[in-house]
Amino acid sequence: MTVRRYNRLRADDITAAGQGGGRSSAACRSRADENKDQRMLSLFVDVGMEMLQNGAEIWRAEETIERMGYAYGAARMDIFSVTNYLAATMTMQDYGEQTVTRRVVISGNNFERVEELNALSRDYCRRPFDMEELADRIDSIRDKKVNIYKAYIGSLLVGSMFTVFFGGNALDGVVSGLCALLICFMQRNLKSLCSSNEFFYFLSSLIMGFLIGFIHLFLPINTAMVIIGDIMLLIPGLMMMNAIKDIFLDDTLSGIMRLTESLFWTGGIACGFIIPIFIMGM
Amino acid sequence: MTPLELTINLTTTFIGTIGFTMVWNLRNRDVFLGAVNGIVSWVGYLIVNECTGSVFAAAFTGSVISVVIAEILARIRKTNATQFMICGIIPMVPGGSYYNTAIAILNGDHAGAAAFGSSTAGTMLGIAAGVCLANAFIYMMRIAAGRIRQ
Repeated sequence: MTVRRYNRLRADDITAAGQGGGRSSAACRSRADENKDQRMLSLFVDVGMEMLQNGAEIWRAEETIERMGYAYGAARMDIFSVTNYLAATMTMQDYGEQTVTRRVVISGNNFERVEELNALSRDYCRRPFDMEELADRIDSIRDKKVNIYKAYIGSLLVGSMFTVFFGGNALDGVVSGLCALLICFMQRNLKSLCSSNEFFYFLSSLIMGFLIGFIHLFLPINTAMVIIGDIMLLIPGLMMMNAIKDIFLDDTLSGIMRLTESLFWTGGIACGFIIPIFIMGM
Repeated sequence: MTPLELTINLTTTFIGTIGFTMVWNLRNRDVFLGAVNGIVSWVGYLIVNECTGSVFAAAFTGSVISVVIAEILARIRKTNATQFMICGIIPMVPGGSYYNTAIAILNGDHAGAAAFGSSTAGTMLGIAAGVCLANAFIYMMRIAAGRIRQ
Protein backbone atom coordinates (compact mmCIF):
# COMPACT_ATOMS: atom_id res chain seq x y z
CA MET A 1 0.00 0.00 0.00
CA THR A 2 2.82 2.36 0.97
CA VAL A 3 4.55 1.62 -2.28
CA ARG A 4 1.42 2.33 -4.23
CA ARG A 5 0.81 5.66 -2.54
CA TYR A 6 4.43 6.58 -3.13
CA ASN A 7 4.13 5.78 -6.80
CA ARG A 8 0.99 7.75 -7.19
CA LEU A 9 2.49 11.07 -6.11
CA ARG A 10 1.45 13.69 -8.59
CA ALA A 11 3.88 15.49 -10.87
CA ASP A 12 2.81 18.75 -9.13
CA ASP A 13 4.06 17.42 -5.79
CA ILE A 14 7.40 16.58 -7.35
CA THR A 15 7.76 20.03 -8.88
CA ALA A 16 6.79 21.62 -5.56
CA ALA A 17 9.39 19.50 -3.76
CA GLY A 18 12.01 20.56 -6.28
CA GLN A 19 11.20 24.26 -5.81
CA GLY A 20 11.44 24.15 -2.05
CA GLY A 21 15.22 24.25 -1.75
CA GLY A 22 15.77 27.94 -2.68
CA ARG A 23 18.10 27.07 -5.57
CA SER A 24 18.27 28.64 -9.00
CA SER A 25 15.42 27.70 -11.36
CA ALA A 26 17.71 25.52 -13.53
CA ALA A 27 18.93 23.57 -10.48
CA CYS A 28 15.34 23.19 -9.18
CA ARG A 29 14.15 21.90 -12.52
CA SER A 30 16.99 19.43 -12.58
CA ARG A 31 16.09 18.14 -9.13
CA ALA A 32 12.42 17.86 -10.01
CA ASP A 33 13.33 15.89 -13.08
CA GLU A 34 15.55 13.61 -11.02
CA ASN A 35 12.64 13.00 -8.65
CA LYS A 36 10.41 12.21 -11.59
CA ASP A 37 13.02 9.82 -12.98
CA GLN A 38 13.21 8.11 -9.59
CA ARG A 39 9.46 7.62 -9.50
CA MET A 40 9.27 6.43 -13.08
CA LEU A 41 12.02 3.90 -12.41
CA SER A 42 10.12 2.82 -9.34
CA LEU A 43 7.07 2.12 -11.52
CA PHE A 44 9.15 0.20 -14.08
CA VAL A 45 10.56 -1.93 -11.27
CA ASP A 46 7.03 -2.49 -9.96
CA VAL A 47 6.10 -3.92 -13.36
CA GLY A 48 9.12 -6.27 -13.28
CA MET A 49 8.43 -7.27 -9.69
CA GLU A 50 4.79 -8.10 -10.45
CA MET A 51 5.95 -10.25 -13.34
CA LEU A 52 8.38 -12.18 -11.13
CA GLN A 53 5.74 -12.60 -8.44
CA ASN A 54 3.33 -14.13 -10.92
CA GLY A 55 5.58 -16.73 -12.55
CA ALA A 56 7.59 -14.91 -15.22
CA GLU A 57 11.21 -15.80 -15.92
CA ILE A 58 14.06 -13.62 -14.65
CA TRP A 59 15.15 -12.50 -18.13
CA ARG A 60 11.61 -11.42 -19.01
CA ALA A 61 11.30 -9.17 -15.96
CA GLU A 62 14.77 -7.70 -16.56
CA GLU A 63 14.13 -7.11 -20.25
CA THR A 64 10.77 -5.46 -19.54
CA ILE A 65 12.32 -2.96 -17.12
CA GLU A 66 15.18 -2.31 -19.54
CA ARG A 67 12.91 -1.65 -22.52
CA MET A 68 10.60 0.62 -20.54
CA GLY A 69 13.63 2.54 -19.27
CA TYR A 70 15.02 3.10 -22.74
CA ALA A 71 11.57 4.09 -24.02
CA TYR A 72 11.43 6.68 -21.21
CA GLY A 73 14.72 8.15 -22.42
CA ALA A 74 17.41 6.51 -20.30
CA ALA A 75 20.94 6.49 -21.66
CA ARG A 76 21.74 3.27 -19.86
CA MET A 77 19.84 0.65 -17.89
CA ASP A 78 21.43 -1.90 -15.55
CA ILE A 79 19.10 -4.50 -14.12
CA PHE A 80 19.96 -7.32 -11.76
CA SER A 81 17.49 -9.82 -10.46
CA VAL A 82 17.40 -13.12 -8.66
CA THR A 83 14.26 -14.95 -7.60
CA ASN A 84 13.61 -12.76 -4.56
CA TYR A 85 15.53 -9.57 -5.26
CA LEU A 86 15.35 -6.98 -7.99
CA ALA A 87 17.61 -3.97 -8.47
CA ALA A 88 17.55 -1.46 -11.33
CA THR A 89 19.78 1.51 -12.05
CA MET A 90 18.73 4.05 -14.65
CA THR A 91 21.27 6.53 -16.02
CA MET A 92 19.91 9.62 -17.74
CA GLN A 93 21.88 11.71 -20.19
CA ASP A 94 21.81 14.96 -18.19
CA TYR A 95 21.30 13.84 -14.59
CA GLY A 96 22.85 11.32 -12.27
CA GLU A 97 21.98 7.68 -11.74
CA GLN A 98 18.84 6.46 -10.02
CA THR A 99 18.65 3.10 -8.30
CA VAL A 100 15.58 1.26 -7.03
CA THR A 101 15.58 -2.13 -5.32
CA ARG A 102 12.75 -4.46 -4.33
CA ARG A 103 12.41 -7.58 -2.18
CA VAL A 104 10.33 -9.97 -4.28
CA VAL A 105 7.91 -12.34 -2.60
CA ILE A 106 6.73 -15.02 -5.03
CA SER A 107 2.94 -15.32 -4.80
CA GLY A 108 2.14 -18.01 -7.39
CA ASN A 109 1.46 -18.42 -11.07
CA ASN A 110 -0.91 -16.07 -12.79
CA PHE A 111 -0.17 -15.98 -16.50
CA GLU A 112 -3.04 -13.65 -17.29
CA ARG A 113 -1.43 -11.01 -15.09
CA VAL A 114 2.01 -11.62 -16.64
CA GLU A 115 0.40 -11.21 -20.04
CA GLU A 116 -1.32 -7.95 -19.06
CA LEU A 117 1.97 -6.58 -17.72
CA ASN A 118 3.64 -7.60 -20.98
CA ALA A 119 0.98 -5.76 -22.93
CA LEU A 120 1.41 -2.72 -20.69
CA SER A 121 5.16 -2.66 -21.30
CA ARG A 122 4.65 -3.06 -25.06
CA ASP A 123 2.16 -0.16 -25.06
CA TYR A 124 4.57 1.98 -23.05
CA CYS A 125 7.49 1.26 -25.37
CA ARG A 126 5.34 2.09 -28.40
CA ARG A 127 3.95 5.33 -26.90
CA PRO A 128 5.46 6.35 -23.56
CA PHE A 129 2.70 7.78 -21.40
CA ASP A 130 2.86 9.88 -18.23
CA MET A 131 3.45 8.73 -14.68
CA GLU A 132 -0.19 8.98 -13.61
CA GLU A 133 -1.44 6.80 -16.43
CA LEU A 134 1.30 4.23 -15.88
CA ALA A 135 0.58 4.07 -12.13
CA ASP A 136 -3.15 3.73 -12.80
CA ARG A 137 -2.66 0.91 -15.27
CA ILE A 138 -0.30 -0.96 -12.91
CA ASP A 139 -2.84 -0.55 -10.10
CA SER A 140 -5.70 -1.81 -12.26
CA ILE A 141 -3.71 -4.93 -13.22
CA ARG A 142 -2.66 -5.51 -9.61
CA ASP A 143 -6.16 -5.01 -8.23
CA LYS A 144 -7.86 -7.29 -10.75
CA LYS A 145 -9.42 -10.16 -8.84
CA VAL A 146 -8.50 -13.71 -9.76
CA ASN A 147 -11.47 -15.89 -10.65
CA ILE A 148 -11.42 -18.38 -7.75
CA TYR A 149 -13.99 -20.67 -9.38
CA LYS A 150 -11.63 -21.10 -12.33
CA ALA A 151 -8.86 -22.23 -9.95
CA TYR A 152 -11.19 -24.68 -8.15
CA ILE A 153 -12.56 -26.15 -11.38
CA GLY A 154 -9.02 -26.43 -12.76
CA SER A 155 -7.82 -28.25 -9.63
CA LEU A 156 -10.80 -30.62 -9.81
CA LEU A 157 -10.00 -31.45 -13.44
CA VAL A 158 -6.26 -31.92 -12.76
CA GLY A 159 -6.81 -34.19 -9.74
CA SER A 160 -9.46 -36.39 -11.33
CA MET A 161 -8.01 -36.59 -14.86
CA PHE A 162 -4.41 -37.31 -13.86
CA THR A 163 -5.57 -40.03 -11.46
CA VAL A 164 -7.29 -41.81 -14.36
CA PHE A 165 -4.30 -40.98 -16.60
CA PHE A 166 -1.95 -42.83 -14.24
CA GLY A 167 -4.23 -45.87 -14.07
CA GLY A 168 -6.91 -45.13 -11.49
CA ASN A 169 -10.59 -46.00 -12.00
CA ALA A 170 -13.59 -43.66 -12.04
CA LEU A 171 -14.07 -43.77 -8.25
CA ASP A 172 -10.38 -42.92 -7.70
CA GLY A 173 -10.81 -40.01 -10.11
CA VAL A 174 -13.84 -38.65 -8.26
CA VAL A 175 -12.15 -38.92 -4.83
CA SER A 176 -8.94 -37.39 -6.17
CA GLY A 177 -10.88 -34.51 -7.74
CA LEU A 178 -12.62 -33.77 -4.43
CA CYS A 179 -9.27 -33.91 -2.59
CA ALA A 180 -7.86 -31.53 -5.21
CA LEU A 181 -10.53 -29.00 -4.20
CA LEU A 182 -9.13 -29.12 -0.67
CA ILE A 183 -5.60 -28.61 -2.03
CA CYS A 184 -6.81 -25.55 -3.92
CA PHE A 185 -8.50 -24.25 -0.76
CA MET A 186 -5.28 -24.75 1.23
CA GLN A 187 -3.20 -23.05 -1.46
CA ARG A 188 -5.46 -20.02 -1.27
CA ASN A 189 -5.88 -19.85 2.50
CA LEU A 190 -3.22 -21.84 4.35
CA LYS A 191 -0.14 -20.80 2.36
CA SER A 192 0.00 -17.29 3.77
CA LEU A 193 0.06 -18.71 7.32
CA CYS A 194 3.09 -20.94 6.68
CA SER A 195 6.68 -19.88 7.26
CA SER A 196 7.90 -21.23 3.93
CA ASN A 197 6.76 -22.91 0.74
CA GLU A 198 8.48 -26.12 1.82
CA PHE A 199 6.56 -26.22 5.09
CA PHE A 200 3.28 -25.45 3.34
CA TYR A 201 3.75 -28.29 0.87
CA PHE A 202 4.80 -30.66 3.64
CA LEU A 203 1.74 -29.71 5.68
CA SER A 204 -0.72 -29.93 2.81
CA SER A 205 0.70 -33.31 1.71
CA LEU A 206 0.40 -34.53 5.29
CA ILE A 207 -3.23 -33.42 5.54
CA MET A 208 -4.03 -34.90 2.12
CA GLY A 209 -2.32 -38.19 3.03
CA PHE A 210 -4.37 -38.60 6.22
CA LEU A 211 -7.58 -37.58 4.42
CA ILE A 212 -7.01 -40.12 1.64
CA GLY A 213 -6.17 -42.78 4.24
CA PHE A 214 -9.38 -41.94 6.12
CA ILE A 215 -11.47 -42.16 2.93
CA HIS A 216 -9.80 -45.51 2.20
CA LEU A 217 -11.38 -46.90 5.41
CA PHE A 218 -14.86 -46.39 3.92
CA LEU A 219 -14.41 -46.59 0.15
CA PRO A 220 -12.53 -49.17 -1.95
CA ILE A 221 -10.16 -46.66 -3.55
CA ASN A 222 -6.65 -47.20 -4.86
CA THR A 223 -4.83 -44.80 -2.52
CA ALA A 224 -1.67 -44.78 -4.64
CA MET A 225 -3.55 -43.55 -7.72
CA VAL A 226 -5.44 -40.90 -5.74
CA ILE A 227 -2.20 -39.64 -4.20
CA ILE A 228 -0.39 -39.61 -7.56
CA GLY A 229 -3.22 -37.60 -9.15
CA ASP A 230 -3.11 -35.05 -6.36
CA ILE A 231 0.71 -34.91 -6.33
CA MET A 232 0.51 -33.47 -9.87
CA LEU A 233 -1.10 -30.35 -8.38
CA LEU A 234 1.66 -29.97 -5.80
CA ILE A 235 4.81 -30.79 -7.81
CA PRO A 236 6.71 -27.59 -8.71
CA GLY A 237 6.88 -28.34 -12.45
CA LEU A 238 6.85 -24.71 -13.57
CA MET A 239 9.49 -23.73 -11.03
CA MET A 240 11.80 -26.53 -12.16
CA MET A 241 11.37 -25.57 -15.79
CA ASN A 242 12.03 -21.90 -15.07
CA ALA A 243 15.13 -22.96 -13.09
CA ILE A 244 16.47 -24.85 -16.08
CA LYS A 245 15.72 -21.97 -18.41
CA ASP A 246 17.36 -19.49 -16.02
CA ILE A 247 20.53 -21.58 -15.88
CA PHE A 248 20.56 -21.90 -19.63
CA LEU A 249 20.07 -18.13 -20.09
CA ASP A 250 23.12 -17.35 -17.90
CA ASP A 251 21.02 -16.51 -14.81
CA THR A 252 22.88 -19.29 -13.04
CA LEU A 253 22.36 -17.95 -9.53
CA SER A 254 18.59 -17.61 -9.95
CA GLY A 255 18.40 -21.00 -11.62
CA ILE A 256 20.27 -22.73 -8.81
CA MET A 257 18.13 -20.95 -6.20
CA ARG A 258 14.92 -22.02 -7.93
CA LEU A 259 16.17 -25.56 -8.46
CA THR A 260 17.25 -25.92 -4.84
CA GLU A 261 13.93 -24.55 -3.63
CA SER A 262 11.99 -26.88 -5.91
CA LEU A 263 14.02 -29.89 -4.68
CA PHE A 264 13.31 -29.02 -1.04
CA TRP A 265 9.68 -28.45 -2.01
CA THR A 266 9.54 -31.89 -3.66
CA GLY A 267 11.18 -33.40 -0.57
CA GLY A 268 8.53 -31.73 1.60
CA ILE A 269 5.76 -33.33 -0.51
CA ALA A 270 7.38 -36.78 -0.24
CA CYS A 271 7.79 -36.50 3.55
CA GLY A 272 4.23 -35.21 3.91
CA PHE A 273 2.73 -38.19 2.07
CA ILE A 274 5.06 -40.83 3.49
CA ILE A 275 4.11 -40.18 7.14
CA PRO A 276 0.36 -41.00 6.73
CA ILE A 277 1.19 -43.91 4.40
CA PHE A 278 3.46 -45.32 7.11
CA ILE A 279 1.09 -44.67 10.03
CA MET A 280 -2.13 -45.79 8.31
CA GLY A 281 -0.47 -48.70 6.48
CA MET A 282 -1.88 -47.71 3.07
CA MET B 1 -1.77 -50.02 -25.09
CA THR B 2 -5.20 -50.96 -26.47
CA PRO B 3 -7.21 -48.41 -28.51
CA LEU B 4 -9.56 -47.89 -25.53
CA GLU B 5 -6.64 -47.31 -23.16
CA LEU B 6 -5.07 -44.92 -25.66
CA THR B 7 -8.34 -42.99 -25.99
CA ILE B 8 -8.68 -42.71 -22.21
CA ASN B 9 -5.03 -41.72 -21.92
CA LEU B 10 -5.27 -38.95 -24.52
CA THR B 11 -8.63 -37.69 -23.27
CA THR B 12 -7.43 -37.43 -19.68
CA THR B 13 -4.21 -35.72 -20.86
CA PHE B 14 -6.23 -33.15 -22.78
CA ILE B 15 -8.71 -32.40 -20.00
CA GLY B 16 -6.02 -32.55 -17.29
CA THR B 17 -3.92 -29.99 -19.20
CA ILE B 18 -6.98 -27.76 -19.54
CA GLY B 19 -7.25 -28.05 -15.74
CA PHE B 20 -3.67 -26.82 -15.37
CA THR B 21 -4.28 -23.87 -17.70
CA MET B 22 -7.14 -22.88 -15.39
CA VAL B 23 -5.04 -23.30 -12.23
CA TRP B 24 -2.31 -21.09 -13.73
CA ASN B 25 -4.93 -18.61 -14.94
CA LEU B 26 -4.09 -18.55 -18.63
CA ARG B 27 -6.34 -16.26 -20.62
CA ASN B 28 -9.46 -18.07 -21.82
CA ARG B 29 -8.46 -17.74 -25.47
CA ASP B 30 -5.15 -19.54 -24.75
CA VAL B 31 -6.60 -22.47 -22.78
CA PHE B 32 -7.44 -24.63 -25.80
CA LEU B 33 -4.08 -24.02 -27.48
CA GLY B 34 -2.24 -24.90 -24.27
CA ALA B 35 -4.12 -28.18 -24.07
CA VAL B 36 -3.40 -28.91 -27.76
CA ASN B 37 0.32 -28.43 -27.06
CA GLY B 38 -0.03 -30.80 -24.11
CA ILE B 39 -1.59 -33.57 -26.17
CA VAL B 40 0.73 -33.19 -29.20
CA SER B 41 3.85 -33.32 -27.00
CA TRP B 42 2.44 -36.32 -25.15
CA VAL B 43 1.77 -38.16 -28.42
CA GLY B 44 5.42 -37.47 -29.39
CA TYR B 45 6.49 -38.89 -26.02
CA LEU B 46 4.36 -42.03 -26.47
CA ILE B 47 5.64 -42.71 -30.01
CA VAL B 48 9.33 -42.39 -29.07
CA ASN B 49 8.82 -44.37 -25.87
CA GLU B 50 7.15 -47.13 -27.88
CA CYS B 51 9.94 -47.18 -30.49
CA THR B 52 12.99 -46.85 -28.24
CA GLY B 53 11.79 -47.88 -24.77
CA SER B 54 13.82 -45.01 -23.34
CA VAL B 55 12.06 -42.50 -21.09
CA PHE B 56 14.95 -40.07 -21.58
CA ALA B 57 14.61 -40.06 -25.37
CA ALA B 58 10.82 -39.87 -25.10
CA ALA B 59 10.86 -36.95 -22.65
CA PHE B 60 13.53 -35.20 -24.73
CA THR B 61 11.45 -35.47 -27.90
CA GLY B 62 8.26 -34.46 -26.13
CA SER B 63 9.85 -31.37 -24.61
CA VAL B 64 11.45 -30.31 -27.91
CA ILE B 65 8.03 -30.57 -29.58
CA SER B 66 6.51 -28.63 -26.71
CA VAL B 67 9.07 -25.79 -26.94
CA VAL B 68 8.75 -25.50 -30.74
CA ILE B 69 4.94 -25.43 -30.65
CA ALA B 70 4.99 -22.97 -27.74
CA GLU B 71 7.26 -20.57 -29.66
CA ILE B 72 5.05 -20.77 -32.75
CA LEU B 73 1.89 -20.19 -30.68
CA ALA B 74 3.55 -17.31 -28.82
CA ARG B 75 4.41 -15.60 -32.14
CA ILE B 76 0.87 -16.08 -33.44
CA ARG B 77 -0.81 -14.93 -30.22
CA LYS B 78 1.81 -12.23 -29.40
CA THR B 79 2.19 -13.65 -25.91
CA ASN B 80 4.93 -15.33 -23.88
CA ALA B 81 5.96 -18.86 -24.80
CA THR B 82 6.36 -20.17 -21.24
CA GLN B 83 2.64 -20.55 -20.63
CA PHE B 84 2.26 -22.83 -23.66
CA MET B 85 5.54 -24.63 -23.00
CA ILE B 86 4.63 -25.69 -19.47
CA CYS B 87 1.27 -27.01 -20.76
CA GLY B 88 3.19 -29.23 -23.18
CA ILE B 89 5.54 -30.49 -20.51
CA ILE B 90 3.06 -31.18 -17.71
CA PRO B 91 1.82 -34.59 -19.01
CA MET B 92 5.44 -35.80 -19.00
CA VAL B 93 6.07 -34.85 -15.36
CA PRO B 94 6.85 -38.20 -13.72
CA GLY B 95 4.36 -38.00 -10.84
CA GLY B 96 3.79 -41.75 -10.81
CA SER B 97 7.41 -42.86 -10.75
CA TYR B 98 8.21 -40.14 -8.21
CA TYR B 99 5.55 -41.58 -5.87
CA ASN B 100 6.74 -45.14 -6.50
CA THR B 101 10.35 -44.14 -5.74
CA ALA B 102 9.29 -42.66 -2.39
CA ILE B 103 7.25 -45.78 -1.53
CA ALA B 104 10.12 -48.11 -2.51
CA ILE B 105 12.50 -46.14 -0.27
CA LEU B 106 9.95 -46.33 2.57
CA ASN B 107 9.64 -50.11 2.15
CA GLY B 108 13.42 -50.61 2.00
CA ASP B 109 13.09 -51.93 -1.55
CA HIS B 110 16.45 -50.72 -2.87
CA ALA B 111 16.12 -52.38 -6.28
CA GLY B 112 12.67 -50.86 -6.79
CA ALA B 113 13.86 -47.46 -5.56
CA ALA B 114 16.78 -47.57 -8.00
CA ALA B 115 14.52 -48.59 -10.92
CA PHE B 116 11.81 -45.99 -10.23
CA GLY B 117 14.38 -43.37 -9.23
CA SER B 118 16.33 -43.77 -12.46
CA SER B 119 13.08 -43.58 -14.45
CA THR B 120 12.14 -40.36 -12.61
CA ALA B 121 15.61 -38.88 -13.08
CA GLY B 122 15.75 -39.97 -16.73
CA THR B 123 12.45 -38.29 -17.50
CA MET B 124 13.42 -35.09 -15.69
CA LEU B 125 16.80 -34.98 -17.44
CA GLY B 126 15.13 -35.63 -20.79
CA ILE B 127 12.75 -32.74 -20.23
CA ALA B 128 15.60 -30.46 -19.10
CA ALA B 129 17.82 -31.40 -22.06
CA GLY B 130 14.97 -30.97 -24.54
CA VAL B 131 13.96 -27.56 -23.17
CA CYS B 132 17.60 -26.36 -23.12
CA LEU B 133 18.48 -27.55 -26.60
CA ALA B 134 15.29 -26.33 -28.25
CA ASN B 135 15.62 -22.95 -26.54
CA ALA B 136 19.28 -22.73 -27.60
CA PHE B 137 18.35 -23.20 -31.26
CA ILE B 138 15.47 -20.75 -31.04
CA TYR B 139 17.75 -18.18 -29.37
CA MET B 140 20.38 -18.62 -32.12
CA MET B 141 17.76 -18.28 -34.83
CA ARG B 142 16.37 -15.14 -33.21
CA ILE B 143 19.82 -13.53 -33.03
CA ALA B 144 20.63 -14.57 -36.61
CA ALA B 145 17.30 -13.18 -37.86
CA GLY B 146 18.02 -9.90 -36.07
CA ARG B 147 21.43 -9.62 -37.72
CA ILE B 148 20.04 -10.41 -41.16
CA ARG B 149 17.41 -7.68 -40.69
CA GLN B 150 20.15 -5.17 -39.76
